[in-house]
Amino acid sequence: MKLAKVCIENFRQLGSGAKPFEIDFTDALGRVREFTLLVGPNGCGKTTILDAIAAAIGPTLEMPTLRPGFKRSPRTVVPRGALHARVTCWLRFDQVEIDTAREVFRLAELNEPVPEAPEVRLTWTYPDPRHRSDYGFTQCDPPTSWTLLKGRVQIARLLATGRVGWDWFHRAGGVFTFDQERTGLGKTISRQVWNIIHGNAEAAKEKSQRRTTDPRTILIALALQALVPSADGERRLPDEFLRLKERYAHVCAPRRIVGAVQDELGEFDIYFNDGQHEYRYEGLSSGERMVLLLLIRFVAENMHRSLVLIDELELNEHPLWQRRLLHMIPRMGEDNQIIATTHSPYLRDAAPPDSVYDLGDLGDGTNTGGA
Amino acid sequence: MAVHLVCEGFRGGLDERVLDAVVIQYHHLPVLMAPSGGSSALGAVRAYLRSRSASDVAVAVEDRDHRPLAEANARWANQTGRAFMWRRHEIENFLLHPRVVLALFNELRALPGLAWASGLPATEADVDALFQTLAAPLLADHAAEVLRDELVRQINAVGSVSFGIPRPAPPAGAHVPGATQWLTTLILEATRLRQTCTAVAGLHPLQGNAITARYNGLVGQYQRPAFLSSGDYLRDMGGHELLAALSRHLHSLGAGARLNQQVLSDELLRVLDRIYQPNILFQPDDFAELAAILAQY
Repeated sequence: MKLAKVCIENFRQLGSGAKPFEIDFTDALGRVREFTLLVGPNGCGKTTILDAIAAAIGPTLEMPTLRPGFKRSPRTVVPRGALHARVTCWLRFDQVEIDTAREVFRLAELNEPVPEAPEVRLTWTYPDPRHRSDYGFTQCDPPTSWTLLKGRVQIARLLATGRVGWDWFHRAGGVFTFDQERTGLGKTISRQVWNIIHGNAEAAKEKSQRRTTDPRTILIALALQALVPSADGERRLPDEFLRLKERYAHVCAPRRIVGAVQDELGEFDIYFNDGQHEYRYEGLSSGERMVLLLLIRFVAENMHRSLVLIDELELNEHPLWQRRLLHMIPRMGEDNQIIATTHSPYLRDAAPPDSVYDLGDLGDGTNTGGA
Repeated sequence: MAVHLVCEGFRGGLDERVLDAVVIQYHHLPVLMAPSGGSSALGAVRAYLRSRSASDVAVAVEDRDHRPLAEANARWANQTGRAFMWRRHEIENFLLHPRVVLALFNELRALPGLAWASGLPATEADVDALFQTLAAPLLADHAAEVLRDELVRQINAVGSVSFGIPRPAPPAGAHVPGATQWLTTLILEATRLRQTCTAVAGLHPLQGNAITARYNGLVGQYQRPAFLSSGDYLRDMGGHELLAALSRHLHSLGAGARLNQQVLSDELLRVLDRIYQPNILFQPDDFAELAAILAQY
């Protein structure tokens, strides 16, 4: 799923009925850019754009797309003097996604038509003018194309029945939001990782309300999972832990993840190395922690073919690490579309000019006037 | 200790982004980029960076432009040096490698709705043939630029034709030079300049017939099939001009106005970043050599 264009009316301070706020995410060749950087000073509406996109698509996806700090209520979303907020998204689906949606509906024995619709216009109106839904009112054009947005949630449901494997997440995407705390971990982590944290599947069922939000635990679980041979032939995740280690080393070099170790009391812990000394998770700098939270969630939530919204990509990072992050982020997962915000001039200068959307002067005497 | 890589171009410019992608990020180097704005400021930026901290290292790389290839090779031969020069004319020349351009053309052909892209070359040899066609009308201009560079170097070899600003030393017991010292110095500099100008005026290569002969010789040399068929033109001719010619060609096929020269160079950089492997695409590989030099600090 790709977002080609968004049109925002009366969403907080952004846009009005007479003068909607629009952003086109396509490049000079008409393709949706894999990376877009929204640049501007504080208060220019960068985060609000991400909120509007997440709020509009989320209800149809049936996925938790909103950042934890966002409060969805008419008073916080709709400005005074307006009746409704409206966000229109022009979405694109490739043939793999369309075929996958059809297949998962068939496997789920749901008799819903999945149209051959590479382009879908989704319009979200909030509050619901029909007074039926607290999440707003969504219309899709063509009308039955909402089924294309259900691919990922259907795969998640079918996983529980064993009708599909984890690799199906490579075929259908969702929307993922990283707020400034990089929270949101553990909402859709894989069952394999979850079982390691909580014990066997039965125990997990009993603790179905529990979901870990502790990156250290997830990291240990991923590291251990990489070491444990599969007894049932189910696909394991060793490559994902290795990928996570590689990418962490890329951004944070010379720092690296050593791996999981068992102490004298039999407790597992995760160790890091800065090129000279080893240290535990508690010894991570804030910059390392932010990188780790980003990487873990990319891996643990199987982000592929997805729209990934990242607020302030540069958080706590040294300029050198900001550039490395910028270089690596589009390579995380397969075929993702990243929309990130920043007020870092380093990031703005490192990004291709055509991918920079300028929302205001950063005060450093440079105005890119990008996309 | 911080390691800086000083390059031509502006902050966020093509030079900076190419070097960041294929040198710094590819080799995971802890190096900070420092664009200088232009070749004339490279030395000043290097000096400024060194002045901030004695332990900092600043390595600079500049365009060769029309200077002889041997000059660039000599710089790369000294691996402990701090000032290098591309073996190619400028940074755009790296983006115009036929394999990079072909990879982009293949992508364009696969895109829906770009009917004009179906006419693009489909093999590396065909891309090279296209470039030879695009380069042919630029050869006379290239010869003139090469000759201009030769003449400037010949003049500079005689001496500076600018009036210098030598400041005489103050006499014993004084803080500033007096009239006697100043007059002596100014007369000496004026004499030197007159002599230099006389010598320059007598230079044979600066005579009209010599310029014509040399220019015609250069044009003849570049118009020989070997210059184009050997691929040297992609190394020596202005990459900016070749890129502009490619951009005009794409527009003549039907490419939209949004695919301007800057977007085209960004697209080529994206492809280069994807397919680049040290010492495979470019031989010798300036990027790989630069990475090895930076890695030693």
